[in-house]
Amino acid sequence: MSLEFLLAAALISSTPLAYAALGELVIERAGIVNLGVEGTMLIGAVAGFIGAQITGSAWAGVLAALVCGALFGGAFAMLTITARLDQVVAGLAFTVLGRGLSSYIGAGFVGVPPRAVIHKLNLGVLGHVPVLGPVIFGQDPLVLGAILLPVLLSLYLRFTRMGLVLMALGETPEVVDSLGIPVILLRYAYVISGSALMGVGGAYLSLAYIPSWIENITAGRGWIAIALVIFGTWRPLWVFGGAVLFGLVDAVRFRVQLDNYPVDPHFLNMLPYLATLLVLALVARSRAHGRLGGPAALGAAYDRERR
Amino acid sequence: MTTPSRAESALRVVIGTIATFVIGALLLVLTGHNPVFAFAAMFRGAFGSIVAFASTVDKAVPIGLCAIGISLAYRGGLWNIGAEGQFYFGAFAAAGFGLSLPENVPHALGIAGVVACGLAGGAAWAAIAAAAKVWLRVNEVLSTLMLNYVAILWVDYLVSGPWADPVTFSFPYSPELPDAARLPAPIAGIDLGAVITLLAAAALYAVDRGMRWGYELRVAGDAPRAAAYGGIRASAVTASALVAAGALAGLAGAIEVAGTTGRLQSGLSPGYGFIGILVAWLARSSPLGIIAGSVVYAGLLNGGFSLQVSGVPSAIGTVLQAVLLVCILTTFSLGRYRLRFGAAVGEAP
Repeated sequence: MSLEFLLAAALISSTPLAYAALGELVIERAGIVNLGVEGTMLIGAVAGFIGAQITGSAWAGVLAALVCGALFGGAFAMLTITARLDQVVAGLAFTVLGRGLSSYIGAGFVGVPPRAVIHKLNLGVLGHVPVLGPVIFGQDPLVLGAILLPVLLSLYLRFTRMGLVLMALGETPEVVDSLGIPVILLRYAYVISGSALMGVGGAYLSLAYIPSWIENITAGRGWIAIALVIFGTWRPLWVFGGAVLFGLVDAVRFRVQLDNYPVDPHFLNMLPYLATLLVLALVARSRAHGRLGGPAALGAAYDRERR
Repeated sequence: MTTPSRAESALRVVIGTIATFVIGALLLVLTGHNPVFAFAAMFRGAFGSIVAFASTVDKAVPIGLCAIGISLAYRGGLWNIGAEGQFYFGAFAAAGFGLSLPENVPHALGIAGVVACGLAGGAAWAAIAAAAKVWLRVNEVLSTLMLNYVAILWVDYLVSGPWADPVTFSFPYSPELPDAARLPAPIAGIDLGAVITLLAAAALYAVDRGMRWGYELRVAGDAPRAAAYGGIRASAVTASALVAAGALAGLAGAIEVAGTTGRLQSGLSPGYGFIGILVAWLARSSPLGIIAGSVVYAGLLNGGFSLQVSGVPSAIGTVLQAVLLVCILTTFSLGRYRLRFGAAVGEAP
């Protein structure tokens, strides 16, 4: 098989992971742990599929996924930021909630052929550039967005004032507060926008990758995304690199299956999870960090009275 | 946060439950279903007859055992998100033992072996995460979770390949376990699992009240530095709790295989390990609360299944499970805020 094909397949597989992981990165940088990624992706996947079924436009579906992901994130923000529920428990509850809600709402859409899917771009001359042509320019816009997003996010964090504030939100929210910057409001904003990204990641599965609606379409990708944030040590480009690495594992797995290697597919399907375990072990070993090396205030609800 | 009184706690649970039904009813109305009819059908499907009740208890057993383990591990500050995988691995070990039994083995031996293998299988699966936690400092939330997927795929592989039943080969089932390895179900189809679960809950109570290990576990969980100062080997204690939690989940898997299904099969658990997490949190570490919570959550699960006949998607049960936890936790969390009437600014308290 050609290397070009493998790389192109890797980028496609990495796209849902990249959106979800970068969404989680933004949220964790703001100091909130959202373990509900899997649930949020499922909401996005079902909303995207139904949106496209109703309107006949895949992009309307993506918009629906964005909005529903944001709404789901808004509910999570209310519970963890305002009501100050334990973030881990709330995240697990939202995983279950997302699974239940998406199955409930999507029950009538299982196995229904999609009315619209996201198509690959045709950029004319660019598509004929060797290697880059098929690997990058021949992809659909969401894949290109997944490549662009970490670059933009990285620039945002490093070179803008708001980016600096975002990092401070996760490290020392009390300092941010003392500067008169609204901590609670910003945390809401980041949880909601990060969740919207997760929604898009889910919609990529139901509108481009599969493309149709099946229960539990994410199959653990939300959790892998969380692991990727740790793997990428909360840096956008590293997280994206990790996502591509996983995409590569996925592409190889798929390829091996097609070529009828004498390996049972069940074992191949274990690869992403085993790879995550390996990555977690390597990261934990190579860095003697305290709380996973994450933002210092990660997981703690901000309470002004206890500043 | 001050601990609320019993009456106040009860009131909050009631408010949370009402809120859950309101939200569930809203969802049902919005999707064109009659909530009164749906809730009534769910209740009938869960508790409406002896058969329904027995089937709910059958589901409450694995949920309860998983929740007891999760609650135990959490006393040591560890999140066991891997009960689902430990359940499958325990089921695998128990089924392996049962399927390889020679003929004419005494029933007692068969049951003892199945239970022991379930415990050992679940413990072994959790031990991987425990070892990674102690030696490599790998976050147990993610490691136990990833191991879930591996264990489920492993069982899927077995029942569709080497252990596939030659008779029902189109279904991913193993052959049936021999009678010697099956749990007796003396009362109305409720098997020995219910008794085992009650014993496990009693054991959790004993760990809390009378065991040095339980004390060390809580100190290691709440104040690891104080534990180290007091000569407690915190990592060893918490790791042992995670392994014990795995053993309980594995036991649940063994009971499922030896009692409910009678065979190893794909999709053995409809998410018992995850529901166990919700129940463990709802119960706030109380063994009695875990028992009550598992019956309620098993009821929601069972009620959801029975709804399918009437055209309402069974996932409504899953939705209600999550919403119930969130609502009750919220009523407790918001209990910190108090409305005070008549107290003007600057007035002496």
